[in-house]
Amino acid sequence: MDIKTMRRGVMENSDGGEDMVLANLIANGDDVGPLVRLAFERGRPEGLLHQLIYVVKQKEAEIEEMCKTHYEEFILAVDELRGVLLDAEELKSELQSDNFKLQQVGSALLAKLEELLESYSVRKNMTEAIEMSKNCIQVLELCVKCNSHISEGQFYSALKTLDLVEKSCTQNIPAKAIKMLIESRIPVIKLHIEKKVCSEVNEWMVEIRSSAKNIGETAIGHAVTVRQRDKEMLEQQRKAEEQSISGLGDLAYTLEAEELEEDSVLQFDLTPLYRACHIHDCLGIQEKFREYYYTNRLLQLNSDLEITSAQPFVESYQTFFAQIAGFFIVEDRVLRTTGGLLVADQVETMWETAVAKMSSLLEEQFSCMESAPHLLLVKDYVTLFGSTLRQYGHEIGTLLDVLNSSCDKYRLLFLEECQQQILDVFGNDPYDQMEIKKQSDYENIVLSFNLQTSDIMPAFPYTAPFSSMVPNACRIVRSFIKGSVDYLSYGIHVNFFDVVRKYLDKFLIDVLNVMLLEKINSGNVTVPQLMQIAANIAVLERACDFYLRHAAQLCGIPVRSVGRPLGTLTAKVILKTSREAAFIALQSLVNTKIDEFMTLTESVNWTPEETNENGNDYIHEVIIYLDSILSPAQQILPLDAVYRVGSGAFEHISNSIVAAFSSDNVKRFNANAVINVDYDLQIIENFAEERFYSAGLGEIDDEVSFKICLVEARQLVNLLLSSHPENFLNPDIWEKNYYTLEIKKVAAILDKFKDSPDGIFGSLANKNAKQSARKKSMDVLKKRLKDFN
Amino acid sequence: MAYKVDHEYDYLFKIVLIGDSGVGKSNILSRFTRNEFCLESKSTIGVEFATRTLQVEGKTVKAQIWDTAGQERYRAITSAYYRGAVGALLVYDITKRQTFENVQRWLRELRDHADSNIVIMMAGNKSDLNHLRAVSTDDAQNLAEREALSFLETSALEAFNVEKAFQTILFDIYQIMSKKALAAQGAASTTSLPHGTTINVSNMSGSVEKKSACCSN
Repeated sequence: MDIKTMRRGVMENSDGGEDMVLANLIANGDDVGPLVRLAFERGRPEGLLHQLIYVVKQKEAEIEEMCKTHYEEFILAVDELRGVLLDAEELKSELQSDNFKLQQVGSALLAKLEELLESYSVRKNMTEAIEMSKNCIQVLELCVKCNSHISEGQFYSALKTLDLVEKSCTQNIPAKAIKMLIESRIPVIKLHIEKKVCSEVNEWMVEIRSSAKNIGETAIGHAVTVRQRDKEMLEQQRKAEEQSISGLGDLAYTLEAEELEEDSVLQFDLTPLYRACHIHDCLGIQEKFREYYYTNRLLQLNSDLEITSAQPFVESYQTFFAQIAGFFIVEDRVLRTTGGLLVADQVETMWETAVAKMSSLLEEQFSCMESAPHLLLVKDYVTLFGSTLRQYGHEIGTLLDVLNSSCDKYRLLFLEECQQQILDVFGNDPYDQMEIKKQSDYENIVLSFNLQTSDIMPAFPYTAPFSSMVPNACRIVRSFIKGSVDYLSYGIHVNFFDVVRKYLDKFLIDVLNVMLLEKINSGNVTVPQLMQIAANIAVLERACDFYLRHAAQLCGIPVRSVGRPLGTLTAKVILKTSREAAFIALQSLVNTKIDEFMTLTESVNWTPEETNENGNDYIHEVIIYLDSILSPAQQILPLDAVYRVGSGAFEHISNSIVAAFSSDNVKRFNANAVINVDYDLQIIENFAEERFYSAGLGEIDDEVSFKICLVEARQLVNLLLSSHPENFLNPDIWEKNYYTLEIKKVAAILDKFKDSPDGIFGSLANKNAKQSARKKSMDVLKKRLKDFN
Repeated sequence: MAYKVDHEYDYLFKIVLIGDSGVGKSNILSRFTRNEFCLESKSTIGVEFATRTLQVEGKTVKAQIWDTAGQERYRAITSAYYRGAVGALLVYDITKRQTFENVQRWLRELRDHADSNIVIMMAGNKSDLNHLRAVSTDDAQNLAEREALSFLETSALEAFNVEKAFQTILFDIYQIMSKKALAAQGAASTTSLPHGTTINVSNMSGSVEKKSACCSN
């Protein structure tokens, strides 16, 4: 290798200039790396190696030169170093000796030092332990505080403390045992708090449930107060309107309304619930509590909605509805004040549950009730319940629908009850005119029902034209009106006057009027009783205006409003018809009675040999009877009715007399019989005339009289006693004297008229002549009538 | 009737649990015999029974408690169910009024099928659900007094009064058994004959005094 190198060096020397380049680069301190890298990359490093060998030779030459120059200094330095070596050896020996001595002296001190170091270590550990214990004590103190809060029931503070415990556990406690223990106890404590709070909520639920009835009753009591106040306002307003219309001028009045502080009156405590909400919020399980609260309150509501069968509904319904009202008042407060424990949809669901249950319960109970007052009591309370809860935003249309659908049942029951009352009133009526002793009675009996015939207060004692049936019936009708209004008010209908009016008409027509007709047609009433009934009906007709006005008043409609006529009840017309029926029945009864006395065909001698100026017995009996009915008629009935009764009776008497002459039971009669009937007729005519004027009827109409009613009988008798009977056929004379007589009937009667020849034989010549002349005339009439027919 | 066994226990008393379905009869049974409560409401099928032995007046009494379904379709087993029972626990649910109103029907059933001397206690269960109460304690107390029943309100969930209810029944049963034993001894001692003594049961039933209702909390 060296040989090779020598050879190449020789060759390089022959080149000359290139060697200087590398040497210059190195002398300048330039980086020769790239040059070297390039040489090897090209794969021909021989040139570079030659140059490097040259540089080496140069450097070695320089070194040798320097060594030659400093040879002397080298020798001196080596000598000096040998001297130092000796000194060092000596020093080493001294140090070893000192060290030994020092160790002998310091061994005791070393032991002390080790003890000291150990103590330092112990102190450090103790310090750490103390520090750790302080942290543990802090946490444990928090635990104690937490326990204290829990035992005192301060769960929020307990939870706050528990949070601190939890954080301290995470950060500061290196003691694993304590840490694990605490970490395992925290959920247990939280669960304990949760159970405790739920237990408190349960106790609150028991308490609030027992308070709900009082809350509900108080709230419904407020509704009663409001309703009463509204009624008073309406009454004042109605009076004011009526007075202003009647020209008395407007009344200046102010309404003093006291605003009820609702929440201050409905005092109940939601604090346990607020606390529970807050605790569950801290525990992070508010959703769970929300569900718990809703579920349990719904269960409570369903339990409240069950009614016990041990107690009748009419005794328990107030408690029942007050309980439900209280429940929802509490829920409304909970909804508004607990910040999301309850949502409106949930309350709505609860309310729908309650309404469905209450509706079906009411339907069931109403279908079982057989007493109108019970229905009214329940309805009234339900409307109060409804208006109370409407203030809390609840829809009560369904409940009102139930009440409305039960309205027909109420009306039927009420109608039955009033019907029974009317029946009792009719049954107990003495049919005597009421005697009113003092003004307060007059006001209660007459003025309160508008039954007076004049506005002047009468002198007392005052005899009313009606019997006690009338004011009693008016009271029943008034209570019917009030009962109908009570049931319909505060319901679906806002203006229910037309409904009440229809009910009223139906009651008066179907109950009162029907009973009157039954009484009239029953056949077991006397003539004075029928008279009194007719008089009563006249008064009841007049009372219809009072009924209508009273109904309008109760319905809140001013009676004298302009442009709002109330009209007339249909019942008024019906009652008028019934009064007519009473008169017809009265007439029939009187006529029947007269017929009992007017038994002419049996009791009268139709062929007497002598005349009797005193008249037949029947006529006196009839007069006695007529006197017995006309006297009470004058007392009971108005004058036109008195005339009607009297004229009917007298007309019937006249018809009876004529009928007697026509009767098949009378085969023949003579002139004496006719003369006797004439005497009877004169007696009854005198009585009729005297009665007519004593009754005061003459003051009414001079054109009529009771006597006129007897005209048919009079004309017949006149014809039979006439000296010129053939004049009957003269139209002018007939028109004047015999216009009531029927030709065919007269012909039949005349056939029975037989005069006795024996009487003629015993008479004087003049009488004979007269009798003969009349006989001839009668024969002529008979013949002509026979031919005529 | 109960009989005495020499080994293991002094008396074996059969007690029946009756009442409407769902009032908690099975949980009362499991609470008393195994100290367990099951939240899931599962209807009892047919009849189940469990036993537990405890001390009454120094005597070892084994209570054999029969649990049945309160539902109508299992009514066929009624006669067998009541045979030999010396005590009955009549359970209703204080949150369901209907279960309380059906107590009268259960009493009639006891009268029809069970021994006339059976000791009856009425239990108003689920007293932990006081906030859902539908039967007041006073109502139940009044009924118990009218019918000469013992009465307690219980909670199988909270184990409230369950132990006390059974202790009370067993004590009353033991008292009656003791009186009968004494009466039998008295009857035996009055006769001079050494054999063939007949005990008149009707006389003893007349002397049995039913304990009046004890108050609940």
